[in-house]
Amino acid sequence: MDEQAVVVEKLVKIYGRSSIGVDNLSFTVNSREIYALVGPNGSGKTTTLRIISTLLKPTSGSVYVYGVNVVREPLRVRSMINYLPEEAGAYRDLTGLDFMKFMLSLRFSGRELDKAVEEAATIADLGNYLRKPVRTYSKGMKRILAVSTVLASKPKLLILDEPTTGLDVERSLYVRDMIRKYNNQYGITVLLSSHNMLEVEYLSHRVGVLYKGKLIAEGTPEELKKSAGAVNLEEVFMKLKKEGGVVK
Amino acid sequence: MTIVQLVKREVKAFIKNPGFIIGLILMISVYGILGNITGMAVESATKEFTEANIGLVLEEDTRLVKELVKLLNTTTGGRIRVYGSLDEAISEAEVGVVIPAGFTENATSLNKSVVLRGGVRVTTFSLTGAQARTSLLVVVSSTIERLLPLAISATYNVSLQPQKPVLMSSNILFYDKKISQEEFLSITAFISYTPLLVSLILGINATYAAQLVAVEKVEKAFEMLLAQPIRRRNIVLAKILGASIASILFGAVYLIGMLMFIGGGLNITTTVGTEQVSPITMIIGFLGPEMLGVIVSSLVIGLIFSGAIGVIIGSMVSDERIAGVLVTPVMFIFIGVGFLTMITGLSPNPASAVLAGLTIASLPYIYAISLFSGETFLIIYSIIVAAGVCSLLIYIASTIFNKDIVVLGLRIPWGRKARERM
Repeated sequence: MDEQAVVVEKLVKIYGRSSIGVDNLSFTVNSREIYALVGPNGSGKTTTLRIISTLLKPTSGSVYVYGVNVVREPLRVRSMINYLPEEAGAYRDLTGLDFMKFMLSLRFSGRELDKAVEEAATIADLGNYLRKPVRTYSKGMKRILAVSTVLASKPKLLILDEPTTGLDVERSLYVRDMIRKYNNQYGITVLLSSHNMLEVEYLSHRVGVLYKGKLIAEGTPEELKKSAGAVNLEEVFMKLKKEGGVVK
Repeated sequence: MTIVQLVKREVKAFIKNPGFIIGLILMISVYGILGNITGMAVESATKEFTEANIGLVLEEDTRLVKELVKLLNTTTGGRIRVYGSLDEAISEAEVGVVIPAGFTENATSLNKSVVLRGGVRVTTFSLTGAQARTSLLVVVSSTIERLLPLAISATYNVSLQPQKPVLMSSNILFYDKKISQEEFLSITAFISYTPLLVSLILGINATYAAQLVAVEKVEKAFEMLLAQPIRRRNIVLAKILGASIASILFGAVYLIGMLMFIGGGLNITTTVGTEQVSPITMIIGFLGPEMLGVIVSSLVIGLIFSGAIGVIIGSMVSDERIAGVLVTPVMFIFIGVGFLTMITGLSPNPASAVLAGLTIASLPYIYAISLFSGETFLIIYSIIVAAGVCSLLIYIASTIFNKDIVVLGLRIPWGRKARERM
């Protein structure tokens, strides 16, 4: 049996008094796997990723990252993960290179830090722009800066919320390739969320479909397509939504 | 017409902002309380002014002097007491005036001037309290000036009423230390204005700290930072220190500007004995160099205090606009506390020490009171309370950084949503 990178058990998150973010959600992500959470806006993808990243506390249920409880030992969990939030930006007053140095200095020091910064700069491939302030960057450049920084940190578990949002086609393809490369080459487990079904199909080993905070389907892209009689994941998703969800 | 729409949108943005409403409520409440406290202090100073006894020392016992004392006693509503020496008069009645030997001759000779000696005892740094005491001397001398022609008419049965100015040379017994009026004014002004200046820097610091967190959220780097393997408490401390360093720079430049203004622009000097010295030299000489250490320490403690408040505000808001709206009243509250200390002063008691500890800005004031009253426990109380409050605020800020609110922002269920829920 594969080692489990993430175990989510009966997770519930309620905002305020009654707004349900996640409703009795359970799923697991295996080590070295790329697992994608898909679903419409407000289905609970970001909430789930934030809870796993120790940014939010669950209302009930439990979440483990490599066997470590995210509520009880958040610092230990954070040392194993890195998180790319949706629309993540960077400090406007820093240069791209300084931003990489700062973020990576929270994990590495000395030669390891230099190596990680060099690696992030290579992934970002922003040329001279890396020495310019982030405030001069386009949205796509800021995104690639953040993606390259989290990739270069090589965590055991990489949590990516909409990793290619705001990127043009060329850069999106590049980022997908980098995610795949880091998963293959360094055995990094990836848990991502996306609205882009092409991206999910291209990247993911398994997919979980969320709808109104519940997991309504789960499987490999092929399994999901087969069970729904669909040609692609977009069709799968639309059929599932129409039927109000099927048993996974 | 488009300008109307634009203005409407801007006004709505403020009015619909919960932070703005909270800020308004906070300011009205706090300034209302400050106003009441100031009112009570002014009332007490006025009472003291109108009810205090006036000690007279009679160095000659002529008919004119007797008549003058009689008139003076009637005019002041029986508040005149006669003592053997000025020191006794000041210590017993708190305000003393000497009718010197030769007074009658001077008062009845056209070519001579009437000069009285006076003294007042002050045991407060409060501008209102101190002014109430010192103005009693002025009132006494002007009353004597007014009554002197009447006394002369009554004593010598003459209809001529010579107008003769009465001058007063006064000393102040300030916490059992004799000082001149100039020295007294410089010291009370320094001690009273220091809390105001400190509170101004603290208010600015709270703004800086709140902006540091709020801007980070707007830049969308905040969540990435929170997911790094570092303790949230360290993020909080870094933000407090970062804001403090910026405020110290601001404060230093401000102080240099003020010194340039006082030293270069006005070139003020004060007379101490026979020497002309700068007010700063005189104040340091009087209060001791430790006073500067206390001011610096107050600033350091205050920067931690206000930085933590700023971080708490910044962590609960979603952007710098709301942070600015919320932190502005906090800044005004700091300044209000400074004004309060300046106007009303603090009494040498444990309650004042606790209040100074809670507000930090008044620590130099409490130190000065401790120093002069000999009640050293006051400054110790204040420092203990200040350290406790700072630790508590850092704890609260760190706790908030570990809660959902730091990511989601403060959600107040009011307006339509709240009504829908009901």
